[in-house]
Amino acid sequence: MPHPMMLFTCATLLPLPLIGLGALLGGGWILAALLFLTLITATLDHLVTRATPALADTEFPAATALSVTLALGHFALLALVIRALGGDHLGPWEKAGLFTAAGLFFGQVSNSNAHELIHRPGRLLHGLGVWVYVSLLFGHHASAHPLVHHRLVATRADPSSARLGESFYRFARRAWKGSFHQGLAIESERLARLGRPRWQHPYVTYCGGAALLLGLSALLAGPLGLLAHLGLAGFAQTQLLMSDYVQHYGLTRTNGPDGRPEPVGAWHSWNSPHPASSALMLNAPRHSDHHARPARPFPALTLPDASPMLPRSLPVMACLALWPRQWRRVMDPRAAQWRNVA
Amino acid sequence: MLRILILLCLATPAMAQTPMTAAEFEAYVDGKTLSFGTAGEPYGMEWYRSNRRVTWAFTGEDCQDGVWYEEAGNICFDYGDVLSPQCWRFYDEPGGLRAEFMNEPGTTVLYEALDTEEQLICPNMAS
Repeated sequence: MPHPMMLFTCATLLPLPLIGLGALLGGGWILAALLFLTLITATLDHLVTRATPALADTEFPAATALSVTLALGHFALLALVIRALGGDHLGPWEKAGLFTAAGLFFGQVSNSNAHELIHRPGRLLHGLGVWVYVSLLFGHHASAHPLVHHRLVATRADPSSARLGESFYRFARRAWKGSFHQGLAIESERLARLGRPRWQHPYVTYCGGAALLLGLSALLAGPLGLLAHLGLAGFAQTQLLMSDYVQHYGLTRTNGPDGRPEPVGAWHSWNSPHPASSALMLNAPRHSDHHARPARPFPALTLPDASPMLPRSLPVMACLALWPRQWRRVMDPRAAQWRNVA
Repeated sequence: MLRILILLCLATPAMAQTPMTAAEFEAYVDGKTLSFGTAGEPYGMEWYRSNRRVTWAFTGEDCQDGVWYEEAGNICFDYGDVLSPQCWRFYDEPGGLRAEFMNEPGTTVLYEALDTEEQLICPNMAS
């Protein structure tokens, strides 16, 4: 069995040159990237049944190096792809393929990596994560995720926890608006409490940074490039919202005798053991452990034995979520099983 | 009779069960500098200033300024960094304060070190 870090590194780094070359040269490179991100990952998930073991170290320099590389690769790829989509050296089919492949990479790898980075202490690593989200026009997630979602997970107050019976489409609207506004409220409160000047409000970076990068795209790749940037951001955000939707659907924390929700337990998140998609998403599907130990680096995340398991891999379930009736038929009975676990 | 009472007092574990309220905590810490340790090892020191402002330093590291506030029954500290807010529950015990980390329950417990000669020195700050 190859070392887990090898799996993470190969799964996440391989698409970078494929998509990059696709942006520059078009043709087969785009197809290769698409196949890797979809069919190959799904096939490996199906064939390899044993989940990757968690690493027991306390420090993971290799994981940090990978995260930094992926973040820098993200910016380079985003620029290359925007330029290619806004330019005229690729045909319409090539552009469609490139948009899809790049969008899948940003949605599954960049998002997961940025999520990893914003949970790390240290301003450099955290800042890298923030700017990956900013470049995807989702900067507020860097505040809302730790300050709103992690605090309120699996309660009705959390905009990013999907309620039983709620369709993905309804959830997406609520999650986007809710996370933006609640994140803003908390950060404004923190700013006031710390007595800091208004220009240091994190949302200044999120909104200002987004405007700056969109302006850059327009400048360097014209109106088509700007459109491409918006489209890629929208596609990536949709995938992030789909992940959020799947990972807590229908699971709720019951209120204790003091009226406060019970502490977060393993039964408040959906997990998936599938090794290939887990490698691609830096163990994002090991979600229960992430909520128990948010500061734990991804190679150390475990899959608790008695925790909610998705019937298929996370990307497959995310696709199913697009068909609400089918989704509910599969997931509602499963969620019901976990609702009364004490 | 007195001997039995004394024996009983010594035999009872001196573990407070109710966390301190914000008012109790403030009364205890106001103006002081406290040292904290875990499992016998020094962990850090905190200077509790006016208006619920604090200056904290992990043992051997730079100082950080922050504030504390009460939320959901916890005493939360915000140093304006990416790890904040960090929320704790404090218990007033004869041996000093006991603090339990509430962000990840069951992970960290700190104990106030009462008999320490440590000083909070902040080389990275003007004061």
